[in-house]
Amino acid sequence: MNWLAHTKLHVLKLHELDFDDVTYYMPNYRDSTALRESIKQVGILNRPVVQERPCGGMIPVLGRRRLQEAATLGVHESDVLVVSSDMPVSDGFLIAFFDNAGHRTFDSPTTAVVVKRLLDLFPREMVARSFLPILGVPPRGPRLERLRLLGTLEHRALKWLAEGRILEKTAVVLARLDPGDRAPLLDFLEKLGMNANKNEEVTANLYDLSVYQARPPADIIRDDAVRELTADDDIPAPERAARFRDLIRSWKFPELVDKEREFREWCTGLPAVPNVKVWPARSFENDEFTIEIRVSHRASVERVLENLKDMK
Amino acid sequence: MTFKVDHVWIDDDALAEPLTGEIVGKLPHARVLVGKEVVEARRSLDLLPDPQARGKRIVRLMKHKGAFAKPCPGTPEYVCCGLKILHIGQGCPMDCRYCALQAYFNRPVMEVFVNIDEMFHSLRRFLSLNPSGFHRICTGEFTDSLALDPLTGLSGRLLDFFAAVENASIEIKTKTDLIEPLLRTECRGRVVISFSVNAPTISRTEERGAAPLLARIRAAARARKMGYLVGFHFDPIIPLPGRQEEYGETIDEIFRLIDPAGVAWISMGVLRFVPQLKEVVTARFGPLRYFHDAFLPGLDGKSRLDATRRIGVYRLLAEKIRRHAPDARLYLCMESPSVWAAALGMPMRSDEELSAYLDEAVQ
Repeated sequence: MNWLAHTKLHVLKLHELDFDDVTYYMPNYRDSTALRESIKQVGILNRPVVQERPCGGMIPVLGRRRLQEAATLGVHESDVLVVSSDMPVSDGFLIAFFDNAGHRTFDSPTTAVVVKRLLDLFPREMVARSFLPILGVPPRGPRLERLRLLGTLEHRALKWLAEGRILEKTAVVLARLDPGDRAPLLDFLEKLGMNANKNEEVTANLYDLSVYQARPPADIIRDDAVRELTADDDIPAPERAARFRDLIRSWKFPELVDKEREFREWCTGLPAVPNVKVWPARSFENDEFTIEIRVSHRASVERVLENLKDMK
Repeated sequence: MTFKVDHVWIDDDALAEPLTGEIVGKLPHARVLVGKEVVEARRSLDLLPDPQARGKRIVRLMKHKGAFAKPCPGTPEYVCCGLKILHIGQGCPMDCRYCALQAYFNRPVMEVFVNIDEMFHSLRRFLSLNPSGFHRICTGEFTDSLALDPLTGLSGRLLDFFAAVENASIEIKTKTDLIEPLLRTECRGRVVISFSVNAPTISRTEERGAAPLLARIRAAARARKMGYLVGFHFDPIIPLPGRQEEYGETIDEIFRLIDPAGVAWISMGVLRFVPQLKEVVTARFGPLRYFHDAFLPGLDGKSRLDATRRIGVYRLLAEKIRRHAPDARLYLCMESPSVWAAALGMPMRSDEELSAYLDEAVQ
């Protein structure tokens, strides 16, 4: 049935709309400034579509952002089209999906939320045949499961992903945590203000420690050593973050950190030669070392090699 | 033990192979798919949340187009044993949670190469083109050597083939106890029947679908009684705290039942993996504690535990093994000369040295 052909015009009091309802939610993590300005200047151009709930009250079907921004601007009511409460959720979600998919390129968190909802509402085969080609998602079960997992994340984590503050693999780790562990960890990462790669390193190491020690991540970041470090406001934020990373790394890789310390101490006893560095084998995997000699001219290369050629 | 196969997919060009008919005849209850049905089934399989789990009950019969005999994909960064692989198929009906193959193959079904006449031709050619030197050949790298043997009957043919070969040995490597066909064949030639073993708890919880550890060791003892050399592979060793001592129980059981003189070799390898395996495993099974241990990037990019820790584990196991078998031919899989020296007290500086050391066991 073409539900949109059977709508009623209605003047909606915005406080009657349940903005928290996610039945037909299509996320959009883009900045809303332009939309807000547009509403301020010329009002809502296209009438949003809402659905009346059988138990009363309205939920958004199309135009949630428009209505949300209007409410933020102090608008109290708006013309809307009301679609029948008989419209099944799957039909309504299709309308919302195609309203967005036709003109938007979905980022990965939006894709995740949409895929999760599609898998909740439709048979897997149908999702693969009818929706994945539009979304540009390969029809592979493990990829769908990963997106479904990501789609369980709260708005805050998904927004971070959309903004590039965390990588997708970090978001996957976060999604595997209990919500009760995730919130304090996100607060903590927010406080440290690291880039996506450092957030990834810290999250991965914390998760590994948490699984290996059977200890919640929130418990680890409440450790006295961490609290002492992060509570010191005299330390600049980047320095604090660096120290925290080192601390977590030393917990995760105690043997490696010991060997690095020992190596640095050994290096201080070596003769200091300008432009020469000594490197151990990767992860101290064997007893080999690399001596790096940095020169600035071809002639220097020749001279150094000449001096080294008889070295045993 | 037998493995349930409920679907057989047959490639068009494999339909006429005699082995195809034999296998289909042994699976009267399996659904046989050909042509476009296979394409559609593959599409549906790929869509499942865990195609690998479902793929454990699907056999694809196909012709192998590439080389059948080839060197084991080692790495120049570590000392490799110079094993040659006889590629009889790939994938396995068992579902060990640590299995490296989960990250290597993008086809989740078990593939059996049915063009075995070509395989033997290729093997003959490989051996005749490389007449100098000795070749240790194994069928158990990309699959289990015996898991699908009740369908293929390949092991018996391999034993017949190697009975007449002077410059090569065959290692049949398994986590099953399906050795009956081998016991019915007179032991001739250079044959090692080897068993992957682990600590009892690891074996019970992680090696899903494999024969119980004791059944494997008993199978080894029976094979030994029939005159076969046997081998054991402690790989991957998973050094969880409190579990390392359990490896001693496995070692005790092996030597309670088997005379050390009949053991060709015992290999050891602490868990190492390509980094993407951790994600595959976590997605399939949830977080497994040992994958979250302090793994570092090794020289070949694989994740490995710190070398000092590995050395400690190898020493522990080697000491227990040598207590029973002072002359046991122990070797390490993909380790550095420095780890060899520290762990086993043996100089092992090159692939050639290790090859020669192992060749001695079967030449």
